[in-house]
Amino acid sequence: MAAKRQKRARKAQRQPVALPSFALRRHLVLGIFFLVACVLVWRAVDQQVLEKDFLQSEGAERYLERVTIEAHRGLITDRRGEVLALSTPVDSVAANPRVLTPNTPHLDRLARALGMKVSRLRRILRRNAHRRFVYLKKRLPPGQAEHVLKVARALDIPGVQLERRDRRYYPTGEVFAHVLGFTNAEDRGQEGLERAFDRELRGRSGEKLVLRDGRRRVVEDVENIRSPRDGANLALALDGRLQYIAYRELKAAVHRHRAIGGSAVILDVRSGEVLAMVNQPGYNPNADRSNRNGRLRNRALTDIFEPGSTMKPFAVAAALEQGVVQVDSKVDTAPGYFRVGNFTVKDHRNLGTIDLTTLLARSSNVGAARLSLQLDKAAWWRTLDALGFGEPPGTGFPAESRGRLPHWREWVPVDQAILAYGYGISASVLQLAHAYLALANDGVTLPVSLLRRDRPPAGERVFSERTAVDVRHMLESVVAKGGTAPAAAVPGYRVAGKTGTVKKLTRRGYAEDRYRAVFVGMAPASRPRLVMAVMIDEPRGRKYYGGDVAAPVFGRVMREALRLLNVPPDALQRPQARLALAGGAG
Amino acid sequence: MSRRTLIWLTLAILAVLASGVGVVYAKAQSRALFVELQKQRARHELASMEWGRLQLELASTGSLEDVMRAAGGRLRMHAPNPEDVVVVD
Repeated sequence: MAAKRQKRARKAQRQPVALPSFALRRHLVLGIFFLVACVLVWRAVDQQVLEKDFLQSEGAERYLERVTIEAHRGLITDRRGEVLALSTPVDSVAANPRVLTPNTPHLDRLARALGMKVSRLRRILRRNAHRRFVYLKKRLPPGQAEHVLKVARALDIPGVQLERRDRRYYPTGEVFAHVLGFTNAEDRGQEGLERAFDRELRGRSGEKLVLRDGRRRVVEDVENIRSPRDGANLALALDGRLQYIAYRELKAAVHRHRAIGGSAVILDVRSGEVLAMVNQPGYNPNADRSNRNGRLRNRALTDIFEPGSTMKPFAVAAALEQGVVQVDSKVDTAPGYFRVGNFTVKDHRNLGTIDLTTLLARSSNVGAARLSLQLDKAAWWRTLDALGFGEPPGTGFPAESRGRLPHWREWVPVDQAILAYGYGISASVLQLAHAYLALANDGVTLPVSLLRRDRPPAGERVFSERTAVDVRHMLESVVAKGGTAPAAAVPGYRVAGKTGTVKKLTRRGYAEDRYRAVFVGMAPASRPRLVMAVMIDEPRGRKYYGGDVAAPVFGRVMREALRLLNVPPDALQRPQARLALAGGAG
Repeated sequence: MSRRTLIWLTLAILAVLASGVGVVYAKAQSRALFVELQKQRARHELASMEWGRLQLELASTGSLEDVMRAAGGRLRMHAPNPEDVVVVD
């Protein structure tokens, strides 16, 4: 019993020892938890508040980014495939001023590679210190850009990169400037065909996802979002050789006669394609593109003027067509003037009774006006309308002019009379050439085009073939000796054409001393291949007649154009005749 | 759950897994191909730069102006006079 009690007592004594409170451990563990929590909270505060800027900028610098893949702008070529406008990638050197600071070592070496002073480089970097991107030098010659990058890599200069962008070049310079126009720094068409066909030429840029590093270099191309589609190429109707010759001769003529400007257009009679279109004054699209003297204007398409005597063949053709006169009819122009209302139509001298050929060869205003007054108004207007007067030529060129042709219902007799010799109506040089195309193409007019055609378009008959051939034959006398434009003659070829010397309309009516010299012609006259219109604006030399100023341009250009196009001569001595002569001599 | 359902479920799970792996594989493949495409694009770029340079060179040396000058000057060529031309029909 005693032993039992003793045992219980011992047990009771032992119990408090067997149940310790572990308070110390508990506090220790809780303390550790608390500390860890404190550290975590502190770290969060540190990153969210104190280090926020640094981390955000670090993060921003290594991320996935969508970048555009530029599409290449299409080529423009002439009808033979000669390159007229070309986009080629050119490198620029850029830097990230956040990484490349003005205090970076070896900046002098980098500056030397860039070909600039180190002080200038430092200044650029300092000024743009808050940016991530700045151009150091734009459009370096090929090879130099890579050299700069190599130098930067070798010296471990950070933040230097190449930017590759397309640049548009126009190898033919001013010769095609007016037709082509040009693009701006963003490669968008600003003028001319570059603007008219901007959408087709531009293509569609693509997009990709890239991974960039802290120096904004692309570390990895991650994913294709959209593939780029390059712009379409454009083949013009123009022939580079003819264009060059026309430009050269027009420029020489404008210079020789101290004129303020001029335009010339050559059309292919069989297809209506524009083979050449040149203007003065010109500009170089690769260099200065300021529009002083309106030299950016494609005058052949945008500027309209009264065509003067070059309208007479249409009056004669309409008269033949309407049966008012016959080919061998005579017109009485005596005494060299006549009154319509209170307006007097005058010839420079009294030509008496003349046939239609003389009317055109001597350019009689009275004769043409008399014919015009006998014509049926509506039919006469419809003829002019069908020839393209008062209608936009439809080339798609920005700002092409439609000219002016008053409706026949508005005509009073004076209007109808002066219309025959090209007053009260206006047209561009292209429209004038286009109208002559109908005479050249045996009475069928074709729509004109600045773009190459694969097949001739459908035409519209304006005159009968008989009328067209007759008028063409009459127009040959203009270029013959005794006509108004012997200078337009081309050796070996028959040429038909018409001169015009037009008084310029100023604010105070028609100027007595300012003219436009015009010549429109076609060759070879037996079966015309080319029509060319030349207009010289305000020749200020001694000569100002269309036959003296504009016709020689036609003659010089046609000579070479016909040879280049392999057009067989139609006015050579027959070989048989030569052989016969040779036989006779032997 | 019946035996049939269990089989179908297993198959479905396997299919999901397989398609998942397929997606990952296709994605990796597409990236690899894209990287290759970018390499080729870079090559194309270089080639087209060279081509553009040559085109410009061609246009400047082969212009009608130069050809005519060379023909008329150094080579002393000229167009035949009309009286020297015989047309053969």
